[in-house]
Amino acid sequence: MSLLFKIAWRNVWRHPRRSILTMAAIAFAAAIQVVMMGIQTGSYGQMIDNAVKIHTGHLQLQHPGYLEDRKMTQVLRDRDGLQALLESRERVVAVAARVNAPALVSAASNTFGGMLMGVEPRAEAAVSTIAAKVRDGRYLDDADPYGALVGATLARNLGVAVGDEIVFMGQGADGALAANLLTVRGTFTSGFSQLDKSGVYLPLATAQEEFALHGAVHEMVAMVDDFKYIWAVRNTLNEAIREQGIADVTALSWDQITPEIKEAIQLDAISAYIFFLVLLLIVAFGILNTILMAFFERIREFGVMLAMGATRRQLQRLIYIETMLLVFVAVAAGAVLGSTGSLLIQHYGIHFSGTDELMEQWGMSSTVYARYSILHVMIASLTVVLISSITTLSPIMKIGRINPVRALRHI
Amino acid sequence: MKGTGLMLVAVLMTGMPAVVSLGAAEPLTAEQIMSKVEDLLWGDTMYSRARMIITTPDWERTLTMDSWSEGTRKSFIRILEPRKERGVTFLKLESQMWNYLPRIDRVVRIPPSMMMSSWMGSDFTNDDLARESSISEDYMAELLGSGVPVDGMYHLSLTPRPDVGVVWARLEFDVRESDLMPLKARYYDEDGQVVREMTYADFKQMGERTIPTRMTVEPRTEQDRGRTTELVLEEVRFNEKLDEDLFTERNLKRGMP
Repeated sequence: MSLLFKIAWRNVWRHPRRSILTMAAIAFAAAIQVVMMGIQTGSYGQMIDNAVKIHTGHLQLQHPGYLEDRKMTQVLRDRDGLQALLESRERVVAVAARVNAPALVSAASNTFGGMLMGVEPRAEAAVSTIAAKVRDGRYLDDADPYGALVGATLARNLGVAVGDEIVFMGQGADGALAANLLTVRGTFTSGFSQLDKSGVYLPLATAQEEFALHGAVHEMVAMVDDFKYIWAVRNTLNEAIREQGIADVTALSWDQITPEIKEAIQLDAISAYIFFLVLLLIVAFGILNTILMAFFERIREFGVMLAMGATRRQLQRLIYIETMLLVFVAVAAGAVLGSTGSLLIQHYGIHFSGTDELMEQWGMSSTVYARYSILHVMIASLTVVLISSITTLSPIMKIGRINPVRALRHI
Repeated sequence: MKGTGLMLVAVLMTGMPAVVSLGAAEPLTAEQIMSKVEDLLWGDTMYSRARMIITTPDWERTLTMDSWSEGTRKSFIRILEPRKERGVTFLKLESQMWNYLPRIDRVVRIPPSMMMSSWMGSDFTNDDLARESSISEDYMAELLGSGVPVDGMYHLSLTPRPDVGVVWARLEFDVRESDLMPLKARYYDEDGQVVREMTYADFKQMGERTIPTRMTVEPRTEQDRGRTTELVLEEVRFNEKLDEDLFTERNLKRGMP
């Protein structure tokens, strides 16, 4: 074995150019995988972070049935107590309360189904980006209780502009008719078409009064300092709720509240996996090509070895060891190269110029940052090693069929 | 309209009005039953005063209202109680519907997309009130059980006519054989699930007719578990001459016949 290993090592360096070319192909394949996975993970992270910041927030406290039933009466009564509970948590950096009330929204002879959202203007600006999405007019103001911020699409459909009046008509928590006038103080484009088409923000106290909620709220929204701690904070919140015996409250993370964000990304991930698969196939054929070329160049050499008494089995092992030597050196180089690339993109980002508008629609910036992970290096290395091993099978099987006499005459 | 409207609705939804005692010698077909009933109802004007009791797991409330209708095409409802909602009016013309809110002095047009939404928080939908055509125009009736009454009741199944945009995938009615009074209606969705049930009760002489004066809607969906809406007709007058101005947008604000 150690003899074979020595021969293999010498063989590798007997044709340095050939070996280096093969290694370069393999290293490049590994490196590109690491970089691609880094960019993908990074952009998904950005997409999710931006998307949840539009409205959902990282975490919410809700009545346990509210997510499914969305009933006006499924409320959080102890708003102040829950606010204190959230603020006492480590990592929670912003908290805001909301009420949601479905209602008809009407202006002149146009009426559409809308969603009224009562928010605390200042606190809301800390948990969501809605204040920054104002297109015309201005954001909400507590001093203007009946001033509303209306989705741009809804405003257009209603035919209203800043300064116009709209009527809402819904049902209070007591079942009574809730209807009143609001003045459009601003319009917003959030990037979420559903929100732009039906959303109407108004001050929390106004919504609570109009919909007979008596200080109760539907959602307590919280942001944490780092995306990756969301689930841990949610779990400790639920523990605290259980321990303190708080009834009818549950903590939910963004992916429980808006699974569609995650689903959209999973869908996108599927197409990315297909892309990776194609990339891997191309890489596999590239490696196969180099290995086969090397093999045909060496048929005469194999003939000589067989004639001198080497067994086919020894030759097969030799080839395998040679290939693996190449592959391991190449994968190591590829991992270093890929990690460097991924880390650079994580730090500096790649700017996709000319795509600003498109990206903004998806709630992301046009500069994409990678998110490097050692896991990517492992996945890339494993797949490349696996593919190379499979590819080596072809020459190994061919050695079994070599006729030494003919091989000696092979040019 | 509610009263009237609802009464009508009740009747029309059933496809099997309240009315009538037909002394039919021959066995009646489903279509005959319906068309007779509808003949009787159509072209009629009707006034009613009704009480609507909405019960949910979270709250209960009672509305009283006056309503006027002319056939199924026109109706007008005015809320009398609760006091906070007094003067809220609804006008339905053909398939269009308007709602007047006196507190803010505004008229809201109810768009067709909102027809399946709840009317005033009840288990009746706007569509129940604003139905523009009759059951017999929208649905084909068929007697179940080879047309032989079982337990003194006809059982009818109504399926939508082709090319008619309707809300229910199928309707079923239990109709009393002796006087053709509807007793129960069941509403099915596309999956063949009962979505809601309506029960007719308290058959009383109102003017020249005997009609069910209590209609109870019970949603059968999980989401609306524990809800019921009961409509009780307290006073009904048929074939009164109604002012033409009654069914106009202008009248929404006046709110009076």
